Amino acid sequence: MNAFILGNLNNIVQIGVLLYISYRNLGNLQRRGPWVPAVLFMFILVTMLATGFYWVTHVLMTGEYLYGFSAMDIGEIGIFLLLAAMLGASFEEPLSRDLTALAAALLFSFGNAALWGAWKGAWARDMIAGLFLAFLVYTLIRGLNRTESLSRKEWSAFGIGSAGIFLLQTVAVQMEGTVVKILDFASSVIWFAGILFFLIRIIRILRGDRPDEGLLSLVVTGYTWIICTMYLSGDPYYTIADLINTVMLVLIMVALEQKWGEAV
Amino acid sequence: MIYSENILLCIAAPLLVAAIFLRGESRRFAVFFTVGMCICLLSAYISGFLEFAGVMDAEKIPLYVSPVVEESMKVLPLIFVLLVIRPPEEGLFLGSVALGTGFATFENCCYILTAGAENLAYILVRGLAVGVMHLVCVLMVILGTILARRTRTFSLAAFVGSLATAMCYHSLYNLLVSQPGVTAIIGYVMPLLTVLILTVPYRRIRKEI
Repeated sequence: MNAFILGNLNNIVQIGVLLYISYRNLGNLQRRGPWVPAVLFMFILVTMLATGFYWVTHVLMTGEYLYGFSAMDIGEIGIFLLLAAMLGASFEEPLSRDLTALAAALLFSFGNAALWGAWKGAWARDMIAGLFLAFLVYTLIRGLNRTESLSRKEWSAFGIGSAGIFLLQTVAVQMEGTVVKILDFASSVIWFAGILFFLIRIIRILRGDRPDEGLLSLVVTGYTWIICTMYLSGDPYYTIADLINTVMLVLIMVALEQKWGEAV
Repeated sequence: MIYSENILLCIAAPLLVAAIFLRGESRRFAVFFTVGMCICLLSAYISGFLEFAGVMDAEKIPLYVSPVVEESMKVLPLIFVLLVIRPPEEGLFLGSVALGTGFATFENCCYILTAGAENLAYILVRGLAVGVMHLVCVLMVILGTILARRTRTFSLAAFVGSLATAMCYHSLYNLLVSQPGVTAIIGYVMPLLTVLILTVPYRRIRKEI
């Protein structure tokens, strides 16, 4: 039991945080009335809670990890779609179509999905998840462009960083032993530099005097970046990213409340 | 073995006759209730077929396949109504409640005939939990659908996302009640607790949308 708790500590902590955020969001919905992004966020929280509990219960009851295309995968796809819908609904004017953003989203998402497939071998499942991730990334890019949250230099840095990760991981898939560890470390440095960038930017906005329109887009992008970090990292990077992910959930709530204040 | 088609016919016949004499919302409720029962039977056919085809073992079907099949099937009549009849939001809520209740009622009937009804306390707890769970799931999807209509550009994403939420919730319930003991008790309490927690904000949302 102790080994189980230690092994799933992140999951258990995350469930606790999710319960707190759900309580806070429900309270807001009750006081302020329904706001579409907040209701969609409630759906996201329920899905995260259900998948979190499902994971812990499944391991506890069966002692084995998940079977085929399970509730976890469905939940993951649902979270991607709901995050995109939540962000899209938070803008008064609909987000316009952007072919460059679509191409970048497809490249980034299928690059990630191909590497998940190469590492784990679950190609069909990963490609399906990649398709929905592409939809979320497409929405995020358009959201960030709308609010002008990233400068041209920052976009370029993310582009080069992503290309670097794909290159390092593509080589790592074909190698064995210490080389893999070195390549993994190098790609983790890029992933975590991205996470650090998002955290610093978000904290700066939160410490500022006036609300920033792009905060929600930045926080959701940060969350998605961390998810991608986790899916392409082994321990200890996975565990560290998972812990930061829990913090990011709280930041999504804070950003949503700020946006809600502007919308009302 | 139970003859579920015969049971369905026996329960559905008086409801359909009643629907002829009813008007407005009452008729809609009777029709959707019957549709819910039919959907339950069709879902059982699909799950049974997948088991027969050797996709998964009989014990694993309720854990991994049934929630996906059942939630997808429950949504189909609602999509049809939404696209063809285009009812007002109130009509959609009523239809989905009737559909979920019909589904749960038929599932309970079949369960009681298979497992027996000697233990009243257990039957009550299980019946109530399943009933509430199906209702919660279908209400999640319908709330998502109504929100989807409002978001316009993200309507499909919100709709499929809420369907995924319902599937996850249903999967968790099925997993928890799959073995007797503490987990089953948590599973039976879960839908009731969800309803208790969500009732107040749900009413507020319903009042304003």
